[in-house]
Amino acid sequence: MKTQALVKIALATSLLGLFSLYIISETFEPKIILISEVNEKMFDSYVRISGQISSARETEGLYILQVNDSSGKIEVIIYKEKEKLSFSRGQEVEVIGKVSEFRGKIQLEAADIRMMESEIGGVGETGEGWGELEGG
Amino acid sequence: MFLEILLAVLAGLIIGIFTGLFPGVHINLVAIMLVSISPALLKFVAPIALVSFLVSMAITHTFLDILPSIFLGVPKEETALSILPGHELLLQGRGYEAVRLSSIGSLAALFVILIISPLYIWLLPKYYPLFQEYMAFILIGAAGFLILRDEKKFLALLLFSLSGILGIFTLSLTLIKQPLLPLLSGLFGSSLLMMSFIKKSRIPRQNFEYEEKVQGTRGALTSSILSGSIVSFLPGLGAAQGAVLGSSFTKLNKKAFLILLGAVSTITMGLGFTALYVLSKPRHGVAVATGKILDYFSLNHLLLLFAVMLFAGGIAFLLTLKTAKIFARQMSKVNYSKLSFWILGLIVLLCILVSGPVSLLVLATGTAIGILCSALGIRKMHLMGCLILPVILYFLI
Repeated sequence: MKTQALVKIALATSLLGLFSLYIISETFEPKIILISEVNEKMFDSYVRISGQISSARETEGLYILQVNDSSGKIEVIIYKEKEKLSFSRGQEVEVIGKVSEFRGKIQLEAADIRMMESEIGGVGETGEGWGELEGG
Repeated sequence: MFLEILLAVLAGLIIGIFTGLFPGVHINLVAIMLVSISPALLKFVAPIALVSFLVSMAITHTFLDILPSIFLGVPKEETALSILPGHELLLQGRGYEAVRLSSIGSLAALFVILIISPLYIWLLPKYYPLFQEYMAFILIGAAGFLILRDEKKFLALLLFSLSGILGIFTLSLTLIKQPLLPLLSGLFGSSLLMMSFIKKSRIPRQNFEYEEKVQGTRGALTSSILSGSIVSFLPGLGAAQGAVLGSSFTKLNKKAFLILLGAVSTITMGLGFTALYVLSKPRHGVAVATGKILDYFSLNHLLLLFAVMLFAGGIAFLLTLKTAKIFARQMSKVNYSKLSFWILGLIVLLCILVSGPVSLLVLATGTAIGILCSALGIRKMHLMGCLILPVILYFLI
């Protein structure tokens, strides 16, 4: 195959691939599941849960939320970035997070978090209240 | 206790050989698994023995992981950049020498870690916030310098940008597990294998000769000390970014570059533990696991882990050279074009099993960008935009 043809095919495939990935990243997000459905088989996968904050605390590098729904509770870890966040008990949230484990307990490492009732502490500054919390 | 630690180190060596040699198996995976079963294990084993196992495995991995990259064209994050210079040497019948150079870099790095750790402990708390503040600009400077140094500046910028955009989309996709597997395999591995398959490349008979004194060794080690030290304490950065940063400090020939890659990989891993001690913040997966297993990470723990690194590293060096000889002997006997085809099939299978079916789109796009890079005659270094650009955005936003 001639180099020029190869360049054209590779460039077209690259651009088409990037465009498709952009569409997928904008369109697809995990379905909401019950907290009780989150299990160790889902380690390293992203899931979406919806519930109420029952407690929130802050360490040097993290925010740690306890989120409850009708089926159970789970700890949600949010890595601190430049923006300061604040949370209150009873607040309704939707969380997309990666399933991980800490000291034998399943937790979610938040990638995105949405405040359902009010936007607090700059979390909802982007789009419709979704806040980017983690790069990848 | 000594016997317990020794057995743990030996077990770490064995698992490190496995994670280093097999594509798609990452040490972080083993570290996560170990942490999840640690409550049960800690009833029988001391926490420091478990951590010694992890350190031994991680250091062994940094030696062995060059082998699939050079002989099979299947990269891991730390070795993706070694594919091209390594493959060039392989096609000249000098695959063993390529592995040897990287291993020498890794071995030298063990002593570098020991020597610079006291300085690191002293200076890091003072300069950590400063580096964190300006890291985006340091990376922009390093990437910009490498692009401007290229003869085809526009094309280099184009490929840096394409791979950077691919990296941003891939790392933000919640549908893909272990996104680096399809991303790096596509950009650096399968693109090279496709080219080998198209060109019907043949691997010549491998010899075991090597150059005693490689020009640029001192420059490679100095650059790796500087870049490895910087990336080992900053979040979101690893050996791959360290290699890009190190290459911008000085111009290196391909042999010196392989030394730099080996050294940066081991320095980043080793100093990650020093960073854990100084900052109490883990900077790589194994350090995260260490922090979870040990309630308190003391100076005594760090000193013991240094001893483990030296012991495991010394054995891993010999094991790597021995294994490289076995690989080199077998390579000339196989039909490389056919082997490339089967390895491509293996990469596709691994991506589906480990990262999910959507990862095939990332793999295909990465392969196309990698082929574009080769066809245009641009250095593959610029494809590290896939990791550099997301990190720049992470620090800027």
